[in-house]
Amino acid sequence: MSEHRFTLRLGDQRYPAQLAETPDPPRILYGIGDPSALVEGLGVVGARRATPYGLRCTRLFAGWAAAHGISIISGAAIGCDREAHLAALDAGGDTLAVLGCGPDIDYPRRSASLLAELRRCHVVISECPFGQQPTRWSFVRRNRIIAGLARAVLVVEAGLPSGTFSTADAALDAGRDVLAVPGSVLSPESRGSNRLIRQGAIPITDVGELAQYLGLEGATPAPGDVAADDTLRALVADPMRPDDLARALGIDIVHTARTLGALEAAGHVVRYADGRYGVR
Amino acid sequence: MQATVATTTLTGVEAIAVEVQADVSPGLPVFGIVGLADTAVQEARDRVRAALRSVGFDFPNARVIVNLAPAPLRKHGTGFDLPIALAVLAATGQVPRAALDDVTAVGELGLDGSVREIPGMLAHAISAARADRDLLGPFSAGRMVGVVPQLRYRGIESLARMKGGLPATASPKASRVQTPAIPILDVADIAGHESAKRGLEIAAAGRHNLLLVGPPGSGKSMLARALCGLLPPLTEAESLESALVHSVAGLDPRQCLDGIRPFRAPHHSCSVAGLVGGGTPPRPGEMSLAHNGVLFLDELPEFGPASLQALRQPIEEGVITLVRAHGAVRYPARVTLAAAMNPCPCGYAGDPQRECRCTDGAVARYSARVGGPLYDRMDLTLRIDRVDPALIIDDAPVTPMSETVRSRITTAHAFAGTRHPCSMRSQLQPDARALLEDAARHANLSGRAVTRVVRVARTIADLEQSVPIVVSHVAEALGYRSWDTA
Repeated sequence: MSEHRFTLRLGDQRYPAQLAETPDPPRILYGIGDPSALVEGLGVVGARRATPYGLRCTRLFAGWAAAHGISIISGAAIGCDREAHLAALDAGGDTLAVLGCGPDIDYPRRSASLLAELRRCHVVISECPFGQQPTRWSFVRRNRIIAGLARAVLVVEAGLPSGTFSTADAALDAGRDVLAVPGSVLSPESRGSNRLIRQGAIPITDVGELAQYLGLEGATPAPGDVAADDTLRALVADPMRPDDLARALGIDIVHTARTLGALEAAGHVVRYADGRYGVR
Repeated sequence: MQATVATTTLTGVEAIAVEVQADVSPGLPVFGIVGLADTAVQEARDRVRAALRSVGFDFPNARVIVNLAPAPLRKHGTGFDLPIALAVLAATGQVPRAALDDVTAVGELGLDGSVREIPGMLAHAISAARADRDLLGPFSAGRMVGVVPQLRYRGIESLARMKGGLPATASPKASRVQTPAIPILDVADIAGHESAKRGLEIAAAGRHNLLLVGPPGSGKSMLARALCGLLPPLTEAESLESALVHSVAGLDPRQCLDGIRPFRAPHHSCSVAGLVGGGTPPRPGEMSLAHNGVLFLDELPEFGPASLQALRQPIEEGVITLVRAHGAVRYPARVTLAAAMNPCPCGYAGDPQRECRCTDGAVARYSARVGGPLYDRMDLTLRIDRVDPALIIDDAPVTPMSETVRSRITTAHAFAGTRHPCSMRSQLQPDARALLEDAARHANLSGRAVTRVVRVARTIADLEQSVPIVVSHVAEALGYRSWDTA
């Protein structure tokens, strides 16, 4: 086996200092990869059943931060987590995964190739020993490690109730800031992140704000490039089913269906698994 | 003394000629039937004996042997009662032998001598008409078999009628009801579901199989029923085909004869044989009973995997061939398949009001039960969602009336039949092709998905009576593709 396994005990020199400061640090960390990559980074978490909006926000913020030398810490779950890791890899940045099972276990299965890449070039850690299968509670425990390693946790998309909240709570316990990306008032998938903002999380509405928070050179936020198209304008705020869209715009269903098809082919909108269309 | 009477027996939806030969010879009184006869045919002995006596004929006090030729063919059913009785009567000189020369007889006998209907009367009638023979059978079936062209039918209520010689032939009269059939459910009565109704229109126009995906109570079954109502009434030829299957299965074929398209909705506990046909003797299954109509499979993933996979080949070929030890039978099965399923085991994935509690693995397993090859045969996938109750109460008349939709469908179907049958690819306009390529890239469409999109776009073009497939047709068709390819 070419992968490099390591074990870090609390008090070891290489044990991440920022994690050791938290109220409940794991006594032993098991890992595969490069232990020196366990640097302070930005935790990026979000819903597993992410909408294209959530995925797009994840890619935007995680990709930008990784490109500017911030390591992206997440849980390798499907949805936002996975997208955060991939965005960091695509940006050529650092990223590390914290698992709720042994660091050598491919869970979730769909992230197997991602995890293999992370073990080879970055680092995958866990407080569960090698070979341990995931349990329901181990993921909740895992979230405090993500929060502990990060200097702040960015919640990109969270419904209500959401497992993401336990990461946010752990972040507050560890004295880390919680950042949240607001979503549509009407979208159930954004209800959780919007509530975090009301409870005092720092809203992140563009790359500039994230840069400012991280103390980096602020990038000029890209202005929304939504065309003067009625359909796109209607969908950008809130993904809709063709029926609702037709009614909202007062056009017949055949015309609506054709407009949506053309916009989808052009890559402006995407169809969700539940039949709604949203802006890509 | 010997006599022969012609009859027919069912294999598949066809009636095959069988000769009933009776030999009455002196000896110990015996009544034997030979020639691979099953139990129901063997029991004819007791019915025939009692029937003859009760209407005043004599049953010979002699050695009576009945042979059913060709002997290697398996015979089943009670239709042999009447020809056996007639053969015995002719052999004993109680009925003139010559009178039965041009007659094929089928029918079951009661102990009182009454002549009763048997399954498959239409098949027997078609076979007799084709062989240019008179059909002698139960009087009650006369109206139904009247639809068979060139048939001379002689109906008798009782065996006693044979004392006065053969009854006169009834002139065949069309029993088809000329008033338009009332659809089971009218699309105009469905509130909301605008895009689904448009999908139904396309499915009906192109006879596409379709899959309805949505949470419980969203109206999937209702829409499937409406699909049946959108299809134009059966043509004369179609109605005879469908009625034939019903007749062979022992069901009432009158609705089919009236031009009403069959709608079959078997429960998901249905066995393979129940779905595609089978058993001994073989009986047509639900899929054949839906011939020329709609086969609706609600809760598709709950059907047994064997049942679902058995559907694949008949969907392609429009016919089911059952091969058994004693031979193969074919049943027609050209159906429009409408299937409905929940998006996940709990049913609420994507429902705005209720949260889905299924794990991703459970959703994937649920969907995998249907299997890719069957999904591939569904040209349209429609997402059905619950309609806002306010809309149901207000019932805003957004949809064109069903008559308009139905005439569009009929016109489109006729147009598809007449348009030059060149390949779909050549009808695809360059900009439509470009759009499809873009879509394939952005929405990650598989090759099969692209083919289905083109097929649906072809039907949308037919609805507008346009030979070329233009951009807007492809754009609309994209919305009906399935989710597994996205």
